[in-house]
Amino acid sequence: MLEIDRLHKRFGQRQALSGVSLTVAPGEVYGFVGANGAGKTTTMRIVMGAAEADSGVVRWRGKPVDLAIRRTIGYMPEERGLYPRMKVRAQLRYFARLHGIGNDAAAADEWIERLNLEQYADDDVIKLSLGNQQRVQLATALVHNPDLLVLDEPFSGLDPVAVDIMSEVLLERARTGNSVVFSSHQLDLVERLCDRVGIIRDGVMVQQGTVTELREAVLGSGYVPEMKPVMPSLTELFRDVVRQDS
Amino acid sequence: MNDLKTVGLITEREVKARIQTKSFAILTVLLIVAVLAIIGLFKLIGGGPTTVHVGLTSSTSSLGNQLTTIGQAANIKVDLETVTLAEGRSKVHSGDLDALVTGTADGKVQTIVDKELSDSLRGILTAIAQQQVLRTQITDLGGKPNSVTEAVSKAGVAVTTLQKADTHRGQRIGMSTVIGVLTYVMLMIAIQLTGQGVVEEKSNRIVEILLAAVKPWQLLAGKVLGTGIVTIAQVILIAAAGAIGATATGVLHLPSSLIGGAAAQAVLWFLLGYLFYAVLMAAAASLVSRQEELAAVGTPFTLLIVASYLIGVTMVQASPDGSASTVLSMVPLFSPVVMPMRAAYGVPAWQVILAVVIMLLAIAIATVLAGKVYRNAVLRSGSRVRLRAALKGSA
Repeated sequence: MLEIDRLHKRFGQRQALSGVSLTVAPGEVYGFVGANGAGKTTTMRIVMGAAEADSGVVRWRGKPVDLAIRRTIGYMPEERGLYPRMKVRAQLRYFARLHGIGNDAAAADEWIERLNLEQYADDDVIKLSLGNQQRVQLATALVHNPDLLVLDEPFSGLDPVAVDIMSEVLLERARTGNSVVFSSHQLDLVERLCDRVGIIRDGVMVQQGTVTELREAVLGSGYVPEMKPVMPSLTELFRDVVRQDS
Repeated sequence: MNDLKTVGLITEREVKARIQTKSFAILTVLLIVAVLAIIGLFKLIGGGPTTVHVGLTSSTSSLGNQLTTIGQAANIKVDLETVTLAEGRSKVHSGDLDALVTGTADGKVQTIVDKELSDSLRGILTAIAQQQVLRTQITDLGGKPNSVTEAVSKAGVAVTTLQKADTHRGQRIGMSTVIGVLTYVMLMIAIQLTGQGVVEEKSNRIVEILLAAVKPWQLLAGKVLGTGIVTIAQVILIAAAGAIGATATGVLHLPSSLIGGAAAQAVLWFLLGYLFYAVLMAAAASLVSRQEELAAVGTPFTLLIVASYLIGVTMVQASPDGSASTVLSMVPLFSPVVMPMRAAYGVPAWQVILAVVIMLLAIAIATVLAGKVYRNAVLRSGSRVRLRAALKGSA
């Protein structure tokens, strides 16, 4: 269980996070949605130690997250980070070894195969298309077989085939009892993949729950959708929530 | 996995990444070629004794001994070759001979050259012409030319020196300059590479993934060590090529222990200087997020290295064991370049040891400060992080 507990973060004059809390259970895919600048990336960076919260705590299996725990997390930052002039296989092996994987060659080859990267395995990363670089980025996050995946916008810039591969990998991770949390603006995908969804606005979690629960919460608050759909999509719910009181 | 093994992994990646670049091989070869070229240049412009090639015809072959003897007195080696007139002319034309002596008459030594007679050869031939005239005159006066020549050849200057002269001063200046230039160039290149490596990881955010798996000091140490191992290997290659080349070609006739010692000091001081400046450069680089900004934050260090070199070529060359040179060679900012430049002149062991100890202290202090700045700044992307904030606060 990942517990993000009342995170606060201020950047100069701007309050980026005001008591953000969420939990992700084992076997659960959690979708983190919100407008640009709402606080998704800051929250994820705090989980990964790339930023420090002013207050609040992040726990994994009941213990505050430290470096030893972070080494068991797979992370895909918002801005992709790979060594441009390193070969795909060498890069994956390097990250496997940094995370203490003994059989780094096997781990690298496994993800090269699963993400259909065989033909690029011995190319420098910079020579790959952006979509393929993204697959390498995902492989980097997965190569040490993490218990928890924290992915910032994993679907941005992917072609439909790559979206399917990525979706399948995330669902498979959850099926085997791992936790996945990812942010995305592609709400149809979030609705399809996620067990639970959290909506953040201006550093505050405004809604959290299954898509069904969100529907009830939004519709129950007296809001009547303009188009009156029987089952508003997450996209529509999101627009409603973000538009309220702003 | 223990801490040092992690540093080892990072170092290993850094070394591989450096060696695999095209520029690495090219730079190494270029630097070695440059050092050998400098040695060749010294050789050409008279590091060793001058040699002249003189052709004699059958009628002038008797002048051979005199040419050699006078040449020796002037520190000029005279290579002789007896040729026919036609042969000689073509050899002079092709450059195989510097001059062809065809005859002596009326106080003139008749000589054929391609375009002009070199000063050294003119001196020798003039002396021969004067001797010829002298011998004729002595014979005419009824004297014995051979005994006069012998007596004259014994004449000379008796010199008493008040101080032991440094007969190798020119060579020491040359060696000191080459060491200074190389240490300076290699330090500049090495710390630039370190800085670029830090900015690369920060600018493409790979540092966020790395620091979710390793500690900041491990990443910093691996980066500095990796670049250091590669550049020190280059420095050793260059220093060895220089020392061997200079000894083999006879450009330097300093004792080989001094040449070897100076080369070893160049390597040692490069290592110390690199560690000192590289950790500071890495810390400075962690303040910025783009390669374009690296020059601005790195300027203080590059200026200090330039200043060290200037101290070397002015103060050290003028007075290698003067008080200014001695003191500045022990100031850690300058000693990595100034001390090895002094090594060409010989430095008392206690001074070297003291300077090394001070330098090691400075490296320790620089490492602590740099680690702090790096840890606080490397994850803060966007605009340049203020140094004061990086020294004080947390991200």
